[in-house]
Amino acid sequence: MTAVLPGAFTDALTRHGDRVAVTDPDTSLSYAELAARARAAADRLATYDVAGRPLRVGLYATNSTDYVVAYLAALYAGAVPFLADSAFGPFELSRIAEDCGLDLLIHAPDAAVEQVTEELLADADEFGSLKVSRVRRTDAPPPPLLPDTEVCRFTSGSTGRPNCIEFSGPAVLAAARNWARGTGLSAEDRIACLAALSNGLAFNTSLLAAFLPGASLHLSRGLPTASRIVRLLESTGATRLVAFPALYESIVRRSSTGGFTGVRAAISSGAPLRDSVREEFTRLTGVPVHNYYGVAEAGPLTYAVDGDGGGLGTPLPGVEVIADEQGIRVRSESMGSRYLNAPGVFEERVDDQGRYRTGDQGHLLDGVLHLTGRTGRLVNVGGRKIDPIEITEVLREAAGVLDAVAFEAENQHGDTVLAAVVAVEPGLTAQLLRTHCSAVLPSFKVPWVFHLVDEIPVNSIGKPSVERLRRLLADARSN
Amino acid sequence: MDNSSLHTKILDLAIAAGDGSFTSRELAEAGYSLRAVSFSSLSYMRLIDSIENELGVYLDPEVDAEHYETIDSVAALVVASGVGADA
Repeated sequence: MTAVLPGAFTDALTRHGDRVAVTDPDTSLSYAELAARARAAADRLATYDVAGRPLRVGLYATNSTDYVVAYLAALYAGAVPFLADSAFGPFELSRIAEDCGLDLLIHAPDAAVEQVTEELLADADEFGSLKVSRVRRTDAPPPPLLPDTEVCRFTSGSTGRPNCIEFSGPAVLAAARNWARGTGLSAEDRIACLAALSNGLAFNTSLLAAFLPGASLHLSRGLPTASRIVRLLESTGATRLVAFPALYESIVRRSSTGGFTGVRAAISSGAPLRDSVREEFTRLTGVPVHNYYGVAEAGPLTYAVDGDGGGLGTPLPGVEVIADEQGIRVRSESMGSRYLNAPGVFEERVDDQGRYRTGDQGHLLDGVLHLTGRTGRLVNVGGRKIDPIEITEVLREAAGVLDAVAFEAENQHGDTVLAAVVAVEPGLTAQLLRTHCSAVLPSFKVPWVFHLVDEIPVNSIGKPSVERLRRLLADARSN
Repeated sequence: MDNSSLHTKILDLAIAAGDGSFTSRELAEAGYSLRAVSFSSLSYMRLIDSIENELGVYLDPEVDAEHYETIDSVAALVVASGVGADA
């Protein structure tokens, strides 16, 4: 089957040759330079080819021009890139490598990849500051990919095993085209992207979507604090800001206003942005915040054109949204195909009309989507979905733990967090539990707070009483 | 501000940035190691913002990542930026 994405990128990079394509604090690449570097890196990848099937290349790094080069190189080499969240720890990375049959891993020099790699390929200079390592082989053959799969991305999963979503080339291209069309992205746009390119928000709004019309993509590194963002905006003259709610909160905390003169739109996704933060951000900067709703499995779905904070906007081109008693179901041109490493799970979430059950609840008002909650048990913490059952099981494995319950709670700002109430033997401390969790979970899955008790409170049928657990937590905090 | 006051100030800001996820006692038990109490990236953002707001020092976590592991090392970073310790 002929791949779609290499041609789409080649066409875009050729059309916009001398324009700036992508920058980071150290490097600026025009479209022509990006094409040349990606081709050279693709030639290098081709020398590592495996017989009889496309090479599987894991990308495990933070944003940089080198990251974009590596992504394009994998596509140009006929390989399948697997975009792993750099916040995944060694535990999850090893599962990804094993589950997905990765052949190579492209990573930062100081990334903790020893568990999954066996050889650093020293001749791969074409990848700039990133390194290429051969992944340790296992006896099991790699699970077969669908014939039209061109990119794989991950959700955080619910069993400690990130779910690997297979995307066809046409789905990735449709996501980019529909986003560019639906949001009016043009060659004059300069996108400051503070979200990780492995994440759906950035992947769908700022990578191919930026390159199709000839816009430029500007990347930052490290924590997106307000001062860092202002510097990025000032140095790039950005017209769009793509970020998570935490960044908008940082700008409001710092009362930062510099750099926003040219910004026409700020886009927020992941976790809900509090109205007070949205209003204060717009008051400080004069820039409207446009909500975006998307799910990893179905791509970008809605966009709030007016940015007035009233809901998540209307469906993007090619997207159908149903909101009823079954929750929010969607059908889009950018749907994933399945989970490579969880057979049947994705398919179970698709109804007989081909609509994906998002797990969110909400309603459409005059065509505008409003979220009201979730139908499932997953907790959305800062845009990442976490299964409390997984965390509960990890806690129960700790020495000295008698029982545990992890559940959704709110911090003092009203943000959703994961809390844990744990019944323990004498001597076990919250710090020991935190250390236990940190050893086997990525940092974003470690509960925000641990409350230790002698016994988990239960309701009349013997199940943990979440209401009483929340009260326990509230009492502990007020004391 | 002397060293002790600065340490206390950074400690208070870190506790606030942690948003209740750990107590000052837990932090003390962890040897004032922010890493040991799983200080999250959101908490680091809050801490850096509050240091900039209250002490007027911009800290770049990427450039100085190794200095963010303990309260003492953060305080040292603030001192190195020309603010604080006069004793």
